[in-house]
Amino acid sequence: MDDISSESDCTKYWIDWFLGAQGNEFFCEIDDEFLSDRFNMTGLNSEVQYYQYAMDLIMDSFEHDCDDQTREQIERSARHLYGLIHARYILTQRGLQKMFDKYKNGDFGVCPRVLCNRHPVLPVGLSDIPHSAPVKMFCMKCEDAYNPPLARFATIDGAYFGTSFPFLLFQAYPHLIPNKNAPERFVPAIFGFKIHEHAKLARWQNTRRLELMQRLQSYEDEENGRKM
Amino acid sequence: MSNVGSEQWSKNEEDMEFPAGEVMSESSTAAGNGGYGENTMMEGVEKYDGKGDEREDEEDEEEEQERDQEDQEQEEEEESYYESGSSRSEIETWISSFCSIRGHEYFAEVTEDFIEDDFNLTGLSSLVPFYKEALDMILDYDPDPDEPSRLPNMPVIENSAEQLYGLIHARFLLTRAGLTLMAEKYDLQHFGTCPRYLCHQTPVLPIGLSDLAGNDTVKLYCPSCADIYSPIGKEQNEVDGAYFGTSFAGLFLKTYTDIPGPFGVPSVKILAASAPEKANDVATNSSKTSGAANTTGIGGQPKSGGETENTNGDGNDTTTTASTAVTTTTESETDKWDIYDMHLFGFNISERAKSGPRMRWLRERPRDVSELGI
Repeated sequence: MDDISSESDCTKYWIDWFLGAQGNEFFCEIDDEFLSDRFNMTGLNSEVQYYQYAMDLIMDSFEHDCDDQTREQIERSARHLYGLIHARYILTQRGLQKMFDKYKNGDFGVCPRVLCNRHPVLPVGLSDIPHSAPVKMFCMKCEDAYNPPLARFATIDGAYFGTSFPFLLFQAYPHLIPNKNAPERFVPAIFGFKIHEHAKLARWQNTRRLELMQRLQSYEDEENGRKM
Repeated sequence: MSNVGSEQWSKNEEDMEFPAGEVMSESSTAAGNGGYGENTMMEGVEKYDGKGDEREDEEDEEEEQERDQEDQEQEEEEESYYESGSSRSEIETWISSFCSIRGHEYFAEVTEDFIEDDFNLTGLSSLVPFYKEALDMILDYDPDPDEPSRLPNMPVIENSAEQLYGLIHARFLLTRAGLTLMAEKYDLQHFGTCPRYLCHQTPVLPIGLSDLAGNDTVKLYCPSCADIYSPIGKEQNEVDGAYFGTSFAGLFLKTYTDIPGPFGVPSVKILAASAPEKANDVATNSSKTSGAANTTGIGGQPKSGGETENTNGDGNDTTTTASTAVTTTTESETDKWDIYDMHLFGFNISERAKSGPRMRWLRERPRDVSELGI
């Protein structure tokens, strides 16, 4: 990402260049329509240095003369700004649709947990405030967050995806929620014998799971009772 | 390499004067204390004296000795600059080259004493094709030039040698020497760390899901969340899980009890915590800190912290926060139970929602460990 040599008079669009850069595979393309609506940028000008220039750069209308150092700073600001806009964009209907397509393609990778059977994951931030934590991968099957597998993703700010995105996606596309009725649990064993504490813990956790199932059943009954 | 081999044999002869060594079962449960390599050597020799297949083995020994001597002469001519004493470390053996292949980072170097002891290889000859040739390759014995060549091409033998080494490796890991070697690798995080964010880079252990070769690839077991993960690297994902075995990880954690278990505290501490006065102490402390622990999303205390005296597993902990010893333990305990909360615009998603939490139990731990009745 540091070898930026893209000039503004380059034939490629800035966004295309940005999305094609290594490590930016998780980002989707933001519509021009969304970008040109100033309402969507509320508050970002105080967050990003050289906001206007960075915005121009993203929109491919950057026509200022400046020295290399400033230019590089503007580049950096543009990437930061794109990320922050991205976090807002993917919560819109069109953004969710685009991320949904990427999710279906498996662009975000799969869950490292063996018992999730390579279930696809989604990027998630731990904070909506930039520069607080890198992006994590969320698996809906085990409902847990994992560090991204490759080092190049570990530098991406989690705020570029936001804390709410995966959950909004599952609200919007409930059919994506995997079936969790028959979950598996790994219990370590020595020579085939389960280790005592782990076996106890697994049983305790199973009790908790059954309690949850009972609660869910009672909610359902309640719901049905109200309908009738 | 071979000149040292002959030294080895002469050493074996010396060892014959010693009384019988320990039995295998003791070393396999890692109950024996220290000096495992010597024990096996003695045990092996002792077996040659007593068992029925002694004659064959002795013949083999003689052949190998002769071979070694021939090699020694050749090598002395060719590589006279090697000093006989240190040549082993300078020449790369098959084992060390195998372990340095990309993707084989998880393998420990099995000691030759262990492989040379036939008892440790019981039953493997029926599992691995070209067993004898593969074994010779592992131990860097040159094939006998006089013997009529009935060998297939080298890649096939290379393949069997890898399989054989893997299966020996799985057995070796269960010995005290193997556990010690793996503990060193564990400290250096050769196996990587847990991908789960809330495990805060806990070092993991290789584990197999089957003890039979060819069933599944190697997985990584995280002692903190007690779950298994796939290795990240493509090469590591092609290593057979049987080369590490199903029992190693469990035995390792039973041996090195200072490694934080699924309860966020060493298993020794679990027992201590179940004592009534300690339990009260923990309960009051955790109630104080639980609020704080729930809100610390980022930068929490990674492992069970500096309270444990041993460096095992805690050695790389650099982010120890400045706090008193008591709060360190309780915070880390509660942190261990931290569960990733799904929330939408800052609000937790209700259990009643279709997309609500269904898997919290997987990461849940009892507040008080005595609840489990351990």
